[in-house]
Amino acid sequence: MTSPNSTRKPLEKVLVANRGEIAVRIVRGLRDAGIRSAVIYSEADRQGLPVLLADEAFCIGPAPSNESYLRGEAIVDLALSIGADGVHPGYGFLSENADFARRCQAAGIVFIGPSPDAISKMGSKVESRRLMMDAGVPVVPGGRDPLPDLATATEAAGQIGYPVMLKAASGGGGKGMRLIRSAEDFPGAYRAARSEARASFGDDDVYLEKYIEEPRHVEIQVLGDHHGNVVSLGERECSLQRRHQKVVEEAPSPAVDPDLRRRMGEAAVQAARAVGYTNAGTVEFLLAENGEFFFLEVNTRLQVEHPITERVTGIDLVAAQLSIAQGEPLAPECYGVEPRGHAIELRIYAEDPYRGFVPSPGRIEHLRWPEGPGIRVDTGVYEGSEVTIYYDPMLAKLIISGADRPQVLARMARALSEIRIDGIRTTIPLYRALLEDEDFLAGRLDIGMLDRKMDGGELLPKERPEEEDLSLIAAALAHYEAGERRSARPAPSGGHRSGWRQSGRLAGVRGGSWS
Amino acid sequence: MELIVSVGRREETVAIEEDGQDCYLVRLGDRSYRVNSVATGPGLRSLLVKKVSPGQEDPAEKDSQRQWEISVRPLAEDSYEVSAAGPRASVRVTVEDPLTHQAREALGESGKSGPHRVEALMPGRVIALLVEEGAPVEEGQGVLVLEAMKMENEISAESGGIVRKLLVEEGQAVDSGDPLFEIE
Repeated sequence: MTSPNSTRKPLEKVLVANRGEIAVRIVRGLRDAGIRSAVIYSEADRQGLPVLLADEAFCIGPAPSNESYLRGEAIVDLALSIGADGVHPGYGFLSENADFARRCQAAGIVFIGPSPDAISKMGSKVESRRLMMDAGVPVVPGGRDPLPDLATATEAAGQIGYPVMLKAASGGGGKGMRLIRSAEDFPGAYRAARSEARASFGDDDVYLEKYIEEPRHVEIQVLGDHHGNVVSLGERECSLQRRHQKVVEEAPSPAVDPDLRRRMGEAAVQAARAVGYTNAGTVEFLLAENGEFFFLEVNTRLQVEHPITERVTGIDLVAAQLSIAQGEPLAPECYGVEPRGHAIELRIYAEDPYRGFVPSPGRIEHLRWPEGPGIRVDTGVYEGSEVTIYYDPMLAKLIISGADRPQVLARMARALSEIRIDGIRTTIPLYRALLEDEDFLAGRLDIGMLDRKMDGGELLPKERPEEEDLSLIAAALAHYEAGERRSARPAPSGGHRSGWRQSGRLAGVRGGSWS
Repeated sequence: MELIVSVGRREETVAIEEDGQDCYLVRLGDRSYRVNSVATGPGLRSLLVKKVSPGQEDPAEKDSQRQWEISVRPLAEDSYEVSAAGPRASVRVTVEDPLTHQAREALGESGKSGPHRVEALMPGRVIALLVEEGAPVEEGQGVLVLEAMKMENEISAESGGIVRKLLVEEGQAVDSGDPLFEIE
C-alpha cells in the first residue's frame, strides 16, 4: 500500500488543534512519546489547562470557534511557522474535515488521522452506506428508492419485513413519518404519510426503512496502520444518550458475548478496509434485541469515549495513533484483543439535567476530583476555571474501571460521593440517580431509554431532608462568623477545649461512624 | 444569638451558642445539634454534626456524627448560595438578625408588592424579548430568551404581575448577575 506514512519517520513536534480535555489528553500522549507539544488556544482559553501543560502555546484568534479553532488555513500556517511536523485534530472542530487533512498533507505535515479520501467517503451518509453494502457490512434494510405507488411500496415493505418506518424524503422532525407493524395497516399509513409529507414539505416522496425496536448503540474501535493491517479492539456500549448526545458509555457491552464481539469486529474491520482506513477510527452500529446489528456510520477520529477501551484493553490509543502516524506497524498487543475487566465513562457536563439540560456556565468555585483505585479523570478545567459560553459544555470525563461490572458500579457510587464541583451545575446528580435505576444496574439499555425515563419523571434526585437543615445551619454559621469578624471581638472562648470536641476528634481518628 | 434563616418559602429561627473553639450548639426549630465547623477552603466548611434532642434520643441516631462538607458563598449582604454537594445542586439561603427581619417585615407588605428585579443566572446574549414594558404576565410565562452555549433559554416570570421595566435590549450581551427586567 502506498501512502506518505508507510516509511518510518519520527515526529519531532506536534501541534494540537483542539482545546479542553482532549487537548490535555493529546499533550499527555505526546509527552509520553517524547514528542514536543504545541497547542493553539482562543482568547477565551488562555488560562485553560492545555496551555499550562504543553511545551508551547499559540493564540489562534478570538473566542468564537469559527474565528479560532476552525481556522484550518491559519492553523496549517502556524504549524509550518513553528516547525511542527504533525497536527493532531482531537475530536470535533476540524477532526473530520477532509479539506483540512488535505491542506496538512499538501504542506508536508502529518495529519494524525485517516487519509482525506477516507474522511470524505465516510462523511457522506449515502456514499458510506453504498460502500458498506458493497463490502458486505450489514446496513439498516430499506433505502431511498422512490416508492411511486402503493403496490411498489407494499412489495418493498414485505421484502424488508415488518415493522417498517415510512419517512418523507424531504422530511424531518417526525413529520410524514409512520411506524407500521403489519401489512394490513400499510395502505392507510402509506396514504397518510404521503399527504402529510405533501402538506409539510410540498413533496410527497416517501421511502422505507426497517424499524429497529429499542436498539442499542454499540461501536467498535478499530486501528489501521500504513502497512495494510486493520484490527478491532472490541466494542463500547453507548446507548445512554439524551437527544442523540452520549452521556454514559461502557466497555464491554452487557449485551455482547464473545461470538457477537467477533462478528461485529470482523464487520468493522471490513468497513475500515473498504476505504483503506488508517489510524484510529470507530465503526458505529445499531444492535437489535435479537443480536442483529446494522452499520450506522464511521467516526474518522479519536472518540470522546476512547478511555474505556484503553482501560479494558491496556492499549494507549493516543500512543497507537502517534506510532501509526510515524509509519510504525501495529504493535503485537493490538492483535487478538479480548476485553479484560470492565469500564464506565461518565461525561460531566456543565448542564442542569433537571431543567432541560440548560448550560450552566460560570466559575468553578470548588473542585475536588475523586481518586483511588479504578478512577481516572480526563479534564481541561481546574478550581477557579471559568466555564465559558463558547464551547461544548463537557467539563470532564470520569472513567471508572474494575474487575467486573458490579465492582465498577460500586466504584462509580464511591467516586460520585467524593466528587465536589461548586459554582456551576453539572450532570452529576443524574448519574447518582442512575445508580438507583434497575434497568441501568441490570445493563438493560437502549438509545431511547434516558429520554424516555426523564420525560416520564424518573431519575430524579433523591430528596435528603436533613440536607436542607444542614444548608440552613451552614449559612447561619457563616453569617454569624462573618459578624464576629466584623465586630472584631477577640477570638471567642480561645484556649477552652470542650470535651465534646475532643471526643469528636477521637472518633474521627478511630475511623468511627462518619458515613 | 438568634438568626432568622429562610430558604424558598421555609423560614426558621436558628439559635447559635458557642461551645468551645470551632464548636457550636445550634437549635433549628425544635431540633438541636452540636456542630464542629472548620474551613476546608475559601467558602468551604466541613461540619461534624451530632443531633442532640434531649430526653428523646433516637436510638438509630445515637452516637452518629456525620460529616458534611458544605460550600457557602455570599451573594449579597444577607443571602448565601449553599451547596451540600448532594442531589440538590445549591439553594439560596437568607440570614438576618431578628431586628433586620422585623424591620423588613414591617416594610414587608409594600416591599413584597414592590418591583422585583430578575437577574441573569449565566452570561449570554439576549436574543428575543417576548413581552413589552407594562405587559401583564402570568407565573411561568416567558419574558425573554437568553442564548448561552449555543442553547436558547427562556427566562420566565417567577410570579404573575406586570413587567415594569425591561433593562436589556435584543442582541445585548449580559453577564451573570446583570438585571434583566423588573416585575411587580
